[in-house]
Amino acid sequence: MNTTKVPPEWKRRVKSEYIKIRQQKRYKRADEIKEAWIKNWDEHNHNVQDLYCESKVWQAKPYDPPHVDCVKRAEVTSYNGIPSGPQRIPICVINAVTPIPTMYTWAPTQQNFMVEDETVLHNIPYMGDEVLDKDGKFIEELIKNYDGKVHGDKDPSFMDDAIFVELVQALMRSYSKELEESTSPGSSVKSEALIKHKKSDEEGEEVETEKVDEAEEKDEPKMVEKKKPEDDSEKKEVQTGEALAGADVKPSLEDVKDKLPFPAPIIFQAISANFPDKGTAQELKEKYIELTEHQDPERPQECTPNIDGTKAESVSRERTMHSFHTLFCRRCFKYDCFLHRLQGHAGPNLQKRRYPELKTFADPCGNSCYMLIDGMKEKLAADSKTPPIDSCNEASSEDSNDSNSQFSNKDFNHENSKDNGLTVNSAAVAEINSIMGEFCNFSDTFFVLIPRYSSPAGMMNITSTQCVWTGADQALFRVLHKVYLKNYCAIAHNMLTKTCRQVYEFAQKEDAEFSFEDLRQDFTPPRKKKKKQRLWSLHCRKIQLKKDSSSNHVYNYTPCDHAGPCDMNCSCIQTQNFCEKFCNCSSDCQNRFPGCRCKAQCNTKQCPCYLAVRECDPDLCQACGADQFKLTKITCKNVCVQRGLHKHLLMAPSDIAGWGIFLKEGAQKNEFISEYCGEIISQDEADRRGKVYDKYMCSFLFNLNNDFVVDATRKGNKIRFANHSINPNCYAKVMMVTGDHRIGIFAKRAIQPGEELFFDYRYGPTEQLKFVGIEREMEIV
Amino acid sequence: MTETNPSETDSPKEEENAEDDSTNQSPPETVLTPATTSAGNIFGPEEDENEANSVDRDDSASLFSTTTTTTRSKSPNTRKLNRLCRRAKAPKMVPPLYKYSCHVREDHNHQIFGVQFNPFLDRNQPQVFATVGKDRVSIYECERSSEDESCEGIRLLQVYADPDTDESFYTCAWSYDAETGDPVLAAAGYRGVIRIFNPVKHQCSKNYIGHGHAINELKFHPVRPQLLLSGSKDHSLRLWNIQTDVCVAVFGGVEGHRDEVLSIDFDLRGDRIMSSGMDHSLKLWRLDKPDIREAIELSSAFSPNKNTGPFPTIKEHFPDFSTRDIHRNYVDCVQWFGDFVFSKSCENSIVCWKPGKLSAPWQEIQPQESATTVLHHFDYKMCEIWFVRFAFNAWQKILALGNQQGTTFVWELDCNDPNLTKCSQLVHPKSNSTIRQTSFSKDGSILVCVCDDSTVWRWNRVN
Repeated sequence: MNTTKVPPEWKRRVKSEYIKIRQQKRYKRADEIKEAWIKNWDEHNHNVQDLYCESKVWQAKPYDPPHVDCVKRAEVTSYNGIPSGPQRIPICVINAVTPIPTMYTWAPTQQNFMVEDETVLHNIPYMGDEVLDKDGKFIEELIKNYDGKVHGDKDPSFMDDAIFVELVQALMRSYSKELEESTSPGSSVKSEALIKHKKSDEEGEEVETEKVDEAEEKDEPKMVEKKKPEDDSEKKEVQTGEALAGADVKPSLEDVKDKLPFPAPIIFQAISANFPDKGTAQELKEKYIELTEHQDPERPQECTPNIDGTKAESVSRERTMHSFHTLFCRRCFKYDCFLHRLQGHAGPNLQKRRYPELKTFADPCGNSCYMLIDGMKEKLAADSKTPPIDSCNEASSEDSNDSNSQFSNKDFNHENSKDNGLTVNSAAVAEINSIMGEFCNFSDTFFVLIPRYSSPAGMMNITSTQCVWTGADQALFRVLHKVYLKNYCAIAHNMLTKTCRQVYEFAQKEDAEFSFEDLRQDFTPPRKKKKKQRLWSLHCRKIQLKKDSSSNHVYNYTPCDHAGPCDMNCSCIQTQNFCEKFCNCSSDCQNRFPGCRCKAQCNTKQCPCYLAVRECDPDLCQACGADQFKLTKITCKNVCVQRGLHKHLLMAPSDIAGWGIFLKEGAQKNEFISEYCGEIISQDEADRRGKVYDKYMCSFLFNLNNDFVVDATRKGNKIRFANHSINPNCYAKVMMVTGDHRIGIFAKRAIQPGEELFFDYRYGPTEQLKFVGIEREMEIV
Repeated sequence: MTETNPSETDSPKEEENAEDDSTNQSPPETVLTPATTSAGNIFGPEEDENEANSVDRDDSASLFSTTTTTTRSKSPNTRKLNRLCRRAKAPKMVPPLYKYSCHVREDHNHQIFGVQFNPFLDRNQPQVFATVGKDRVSIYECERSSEDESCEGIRLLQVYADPDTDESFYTCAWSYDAETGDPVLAAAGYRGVIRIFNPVKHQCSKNYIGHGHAINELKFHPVRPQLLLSGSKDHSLRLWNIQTDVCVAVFGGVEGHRDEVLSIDFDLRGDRIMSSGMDHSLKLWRLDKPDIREAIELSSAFSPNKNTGPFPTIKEHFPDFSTRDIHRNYVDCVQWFGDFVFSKSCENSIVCWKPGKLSAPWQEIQPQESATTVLHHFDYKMCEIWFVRFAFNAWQKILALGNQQGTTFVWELDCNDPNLTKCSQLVHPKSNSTIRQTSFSKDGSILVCVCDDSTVWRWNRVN
């Protein structure tokens, strides 16, 4: 964190400003509190009156069972008061009840969930007075693990939100004073700087950071350097934005002008250093933004709050797509997924187009087709001489990955169109289908509200002259334009609100900004297919090689994103991982796993996927049916984790100890039982948590790879209750499942219905799995 | 302030700052409190031995007593939390509000963790209370005589014992049967089994199993006598309907407590629950949300014979408000006070606070609200272990809390300024063991305290 960078004078400054604010507050608040106190009394008294409950009468009778004479008695001794001396009463022994085994509350999840490290001990666990008395060192060591940081070391209540904002602003005042002093003698420079500073957040920030460099010798060249290219791109952005849609960018800048300048980063760093409980400098900054509704100067300008609805602005394609490109997880097909959000992800490669241009249709798509405009036919004929934009087979496209499977989309599409009872009359729609299939991920999530295939006839009643292009329409057009280029029929099909002709007319206005030639240059020349054949054998050898030199180190896969081919500098190769479809390298990258061509069940070592401890990837393995959407069509048995094909598990008190998990229906040898799900935590975090779990003699930690551990303590699924045995009926295996390591639990032998499940916590057959910490001693057979 | 733990890693400079801070803070405090303070009764670490009304006591044995079988006890915090601490305010000390009447000793020689008066009984009949300790649940009656004080006492009425001697009851709560009006007593503890007693029939009529660990507190709904709330070591709270025997809701999970739930409380109308736990946090769970309200209604009509399948218990993973800014250690007692909350940790202070800004009404408190407002601290001494509970009287005008030395602090809250609340101490030469819980009779005339040395103390209101 940034704490190391904060100079002592800043710490002192934070402290003194803080104390000043606290003192001012104290006087003000006494009166307010008194007022609130009185008000609370009034309301309380009022409520108490309402809650009158009729009192009951009960005359206690002594316990007098028939066998009272032989019942054990309790005795109390009275001191002072009557009845004096001992009182003896027969004890009523109640029925015996067997409690259930111990279980702490956990949240069920069917998917791994990545969480951040906790660097401050949440609270000191209580393990009985015995631990405290006899093993005082344990707590000490535990605290040491957290560098001595425990929640509550410093009283955070001393800094509520209001104080925080005041503190930031007070520091800004004192800081700008200091700036004035340090930048003089040239006093004119100073005032100029201040004016400039006010002008816009962006610039102000930059000036400030630079000043910090000069005045305080606090080097932050990185920030400045980073800023500049961003600025450039933003300027371009502004220009294009203005050119395209008028002054849609300007207002946001003007809004900012009136407000206070944004505080320098050093302020947040200093506060964070003084009040570590309140979070990192970044968190404090976010909080400040939230509290003051200040705009983050580092907020990317491309971000657009609304992309549809009436409030949507007409913005460039990049801005419309911004949240999709930056927030959408291309590995999970969702926004802000729980698995990869903390790692960040490489955005799509926007330079290359993956699919060939959809040729303009030969015939008009309907009555209002642009082709029916006078003279259009001839123009089209002339245009067709220029070659269409062709794509190379390996270039990655904008959808979430370069998957070449169309199975799901096709299936969905066909079902959709049938369900909707729409007649697909145009031959071209099939073609759109295939393209849209590719964009299915994209459009499903992005424009959910748009039914994709409806008859164009439905829109014919819109007359072209009355057409209004709202901001959302314009933005949507720009998005689709890059996909369909000059196929206005297809664009109109997708927009729904506009006719083909209206689209064409609007496109003519826009075309000035949209250069097809630029696009064309982006595309790398197409290459020959059929390269894979040769590659495949090469890969198989490589896999073998990898297996032979099997080191026990398995690193987490992170998609590589670098220029040029994957060589020793590629992160995937360095970590001895295959490149996956999420990598930004080309799909014929030498380091990619080729998938299998099995026609059987992929559950023997004959299958290269199985051999490489990978599940079959629907984008790589099609022969085995891994790409089939319908489960009934899959012959491959190596897709259970990704498809969640777990067995029905029953939870009950174990025959051995605590809770256990039982199989409802039987399983064959090597059959998949369940995935072991939980929180994904770093190895460091696992070490810290493990210390506590070991003390409790109950651990749900599972090594996933060298970087991460699965912890099912707080979140998990039922398999977490499987007990340890040295003669188990299940085994665990860490598999690569479409780019993620996941833990599968499999049957070690045939298991009868109703059998309790066990696996050996210590080893997995792949030897990648090592139980972290000690075994659950109490649960060993 | 002079105590600094060697294990602290902070730089000496910060230590200095902390000192500065507190000395800077103290002057306004003393200005605010009128000059009723005499050296004798200032509360503060320095004056520990210098207590004005301290009675001779053999303070060697009972201090920090570690009875061998203690299951709830010491705060594990070896750190000194005094740095940056508010200067203890000197409350207005007054003569004791209650005077000693008598005490009894139970014969099990274990801690008595809980005591509760039955609040539903008629004023004119002898007041009844229950104590829980070890495997015992005992019901007593307070003998009363308006003329002759020597005729007062504590009479043992009933004793129940769990056949499992491992059981250690931690908590009990009273309710009544909505149909017959008979008293109902619930108790639970170490084994996590909730026992429902019918004192009329001398039996344990029902029990509820569901919590995966010990149960630290039980409370009945203030309006619906059949709704029972339990807070457990398994990190969750459960709401039960003891009329139809269903678990209405489980509060805990994703954003729930991260360690034992130590204390729970319904507000006066039963629309909100506040829970507190070992994770230093206090969490609000609303019951007036449509889904919970519906589940409560459904639970009253539920019958396992008519309905196929189990009751659809609500799993509430997300509290409606949560804070860790009030306390810096285990929060072992929480109770509503109108729209304010009283809570304590092992920091020698009961804190009166509310979520959000001072002016923010309850309806506007959002789950992500981070602000809290502390209105007042009620400071006391020598209570640094956990599982020590305070109690209000029925009208919440009086607050009582015992400490590790057997002293009970009584605050009179009924005034227009929290700074003017009066505090008194109840001391007795033989009361020198940790007082775990106190309870007021419905009319506030009797205060009962239960201690670690298996004694039960009766104090009568001074008129």
